[in-house]
Amino acid sequence: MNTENRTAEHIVKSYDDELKRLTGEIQRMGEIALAQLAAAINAVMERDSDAAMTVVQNDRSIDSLEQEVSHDVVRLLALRQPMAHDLREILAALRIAADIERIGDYAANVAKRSLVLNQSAPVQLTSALPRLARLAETLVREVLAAYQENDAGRALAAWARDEELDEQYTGLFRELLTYMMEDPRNITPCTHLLFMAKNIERIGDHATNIAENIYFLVHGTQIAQARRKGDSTSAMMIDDPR
Amino acid sequence: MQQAARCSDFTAFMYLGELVEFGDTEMLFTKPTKKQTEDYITGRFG
Repeated sequence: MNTENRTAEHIVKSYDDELKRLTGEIQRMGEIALAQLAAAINAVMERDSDAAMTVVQNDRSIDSLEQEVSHDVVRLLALRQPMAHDLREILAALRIAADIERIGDYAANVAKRSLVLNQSAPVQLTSALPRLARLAETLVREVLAAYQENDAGRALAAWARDEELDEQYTGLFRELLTYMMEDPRNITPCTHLLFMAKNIERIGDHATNIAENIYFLVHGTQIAQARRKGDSTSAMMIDDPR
Repeated sequence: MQQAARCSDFTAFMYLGELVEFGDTEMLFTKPTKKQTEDYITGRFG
């Protein structure tokens, strides 16, 4: 009998196997979502419509993994009557799966918009969009690592970094508004770019949700402090130079 | 154990005649303070 270690196995070994399977599914979903985001940004930068189509189609694999997670969670709740840390583990898996599914949707959305973008002349696309995406990718990668290691501190560190992403997004927002004012022909492509940037910014928000769930999973309490927000675009005006 | 969770306000966990933990039922079944309690209610021993 080992009561010293929380990671001691359950008396019923198949319970452990099922929990491991659940966390494995989350990891797999996360890896696919990260690959989707990287592929989507690559498709935007290379103006590669075929690659963008592939990203849009691949979103289905994340969706079906999320359904598997839901199915496994229902079975675990019904058959194992989980308690305490186990119960939080299962609830966290369900919620994290939903967040990753949304991240996948946003990546697919970026790819979808790039198809439209490819129909107009190339905009002087700054390196700001891939930089924004790289930061979002880092945050998602960090929270996934924190999930795998059951590390609330690491999750909290990633959670705090979302502010950087918000600030970069605000900078990109300003830049795109400037392009649109310079030349009205830029309005269509810049609007699509703006939505892409917003999608990436939302990915960061889902990463913070995942971080909050990891914190709850480990400690059984919510994160106490309020997160600082770096996105001020909802109140932003730009003076018309005319 | 499920019955205790369903119908009591307070729950005590005893092991071999010793009181390990006593508290609100909700607390004991969701976030017990003693590892031994947690291991018992999650089905890791006993």
